[in-house]
Amino acid sequence: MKTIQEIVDAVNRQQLDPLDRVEEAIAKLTRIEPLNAVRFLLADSARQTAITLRDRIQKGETFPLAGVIVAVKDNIVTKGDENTAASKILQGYHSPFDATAVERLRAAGAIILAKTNMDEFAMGSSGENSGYGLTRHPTHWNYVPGGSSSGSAVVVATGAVDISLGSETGGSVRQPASFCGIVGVKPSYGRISRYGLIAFASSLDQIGVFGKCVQDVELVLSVLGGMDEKDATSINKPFIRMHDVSFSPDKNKIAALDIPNKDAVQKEVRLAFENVLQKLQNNGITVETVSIPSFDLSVAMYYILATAEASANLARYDGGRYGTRIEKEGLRETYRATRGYGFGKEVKRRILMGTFVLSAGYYDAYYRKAMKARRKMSNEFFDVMKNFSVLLLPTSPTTAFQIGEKINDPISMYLSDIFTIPANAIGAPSVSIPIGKDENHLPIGMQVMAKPFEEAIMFRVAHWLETIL
Amino acid sequence: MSQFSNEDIKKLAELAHIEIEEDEIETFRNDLEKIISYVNRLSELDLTNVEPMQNPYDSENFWREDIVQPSLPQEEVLKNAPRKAGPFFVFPRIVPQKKGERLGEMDE
Repeated sequence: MKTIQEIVDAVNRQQLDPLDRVEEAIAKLTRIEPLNAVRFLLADSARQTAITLRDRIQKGETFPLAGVIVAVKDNIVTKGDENTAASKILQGYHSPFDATAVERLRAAGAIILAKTNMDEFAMGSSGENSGYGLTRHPTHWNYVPGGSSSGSAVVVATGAVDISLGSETGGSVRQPASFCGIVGVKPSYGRISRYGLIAFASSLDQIGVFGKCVQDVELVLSVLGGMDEKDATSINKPFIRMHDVSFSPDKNKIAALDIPNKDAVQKEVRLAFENVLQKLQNNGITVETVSIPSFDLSVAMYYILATAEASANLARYDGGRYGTRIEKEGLRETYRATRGYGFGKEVKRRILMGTFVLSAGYYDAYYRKAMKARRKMSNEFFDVMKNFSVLLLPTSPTTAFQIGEKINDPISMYLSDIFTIPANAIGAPSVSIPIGKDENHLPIGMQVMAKPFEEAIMFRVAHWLETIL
Repeated sequence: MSQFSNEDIKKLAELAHIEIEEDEIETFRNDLEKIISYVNRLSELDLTNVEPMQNPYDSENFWREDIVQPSLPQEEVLKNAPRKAGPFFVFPRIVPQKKGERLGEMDE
């Protein structure tokens, strides 16, 4: 397998033709059509970009992501294309602008070839909540690929594209990366501008990257990261490349999360995780088990905060200025009919929940309490991590489950994010890497999590783990 | 021990401006019941003297210079509108129309 850096070098040296790469990727995406991973194939604009890129390279220019084929989740807008966040309420909406992340990819010579299917408005953990049909697991077609960035995980796992963008609110990149056996990173909150990312829960949302290996996602993140005036929460901190920091087991101590409720974690996931810890010991590296009790309540906290923020963020879909409208006699009737038709069941459920926790009389008992729980979780994390560089923990308590298995049981669906939510709540970076397979040959993932803005050491350790596993 | 009645669900849907079908109400009531009883587990945490946390870095207002910059051209802004007339978005009427009134009307 070639790393992206090798591809980029070859394209910059004119040994690889970007147009050939586009045609190859189109052929591969056509072959995986039954998985329903792609919402829109942007074949013509990708071909055009490849031709322009080839010309510029022939004239002597080079690009950090020259000829890299990218797919973008359908909630990250690309100029002139249809962008729906897999919701019927945005059917036919064409964005008049590029998301900042997309703009940076284009400037770096990457080629955007597809918009990918997802759980509507990024609400879901299985890919079954798309308004345009579910996405299937890349190797086990009766299983879910995870979510909400389902299509973005599938197109990378099948090797159809080089990398893809997803988005995270509670694990929507890391969990599908784990289910599909690839690498998925959620950077620190504020690392990548959210401008052009269709908002779900703004205090938790962050764009993430899928790739085949740690080096690939690290390279892409180095291009995407950085302050953006259009996102007031983007942070002005330099992105340090992983090969610019050193990893020494004496200085960089590794912690492993003591899994609080062992019965809730699939046995094979637990064993694979323990196996990694054992391998570290065999390599002479001490791993200390640490307890962060509030992590066990991450889902409870999350489904108050995320739904509250979502109920406010999604108020903008009123059928007025863009998207679908179901026109009725009066204004309120039009809003209600439009939103009743345009939102799917999970989105409605979450808006109702968010409306409830924010309503007078319940605000303190739910929303305010959840914000306090968030602080407690953050405090516990920083207290424990004072002496450690990274924290290892499973990505999801189970491997991919069957289509339909959890769709009518929201709590059990929500619990697939129990280990990923803390990073979103705290704002910390975390990367999921594959560590093995269960007896059905379904992939198992593990996270390497670091303190905010310490992506360099996180990637360094994750990359090193890749080499010993 | 039921937290919600069907009326409560209808009220929430009304507040959120979402039309829900009669046969969906019971499902939503059940789901919300379960979700609320699960999130009530937060009471297990001792949260005395803990300040609420709204965003990861407690970041506050971020100001930029007040400089006029180009905005989207009007036709771009209106391009996605389900109904428009001239430079306006057209919404359903809020005030009832009087007989013979032409005020504010434009061709779509």
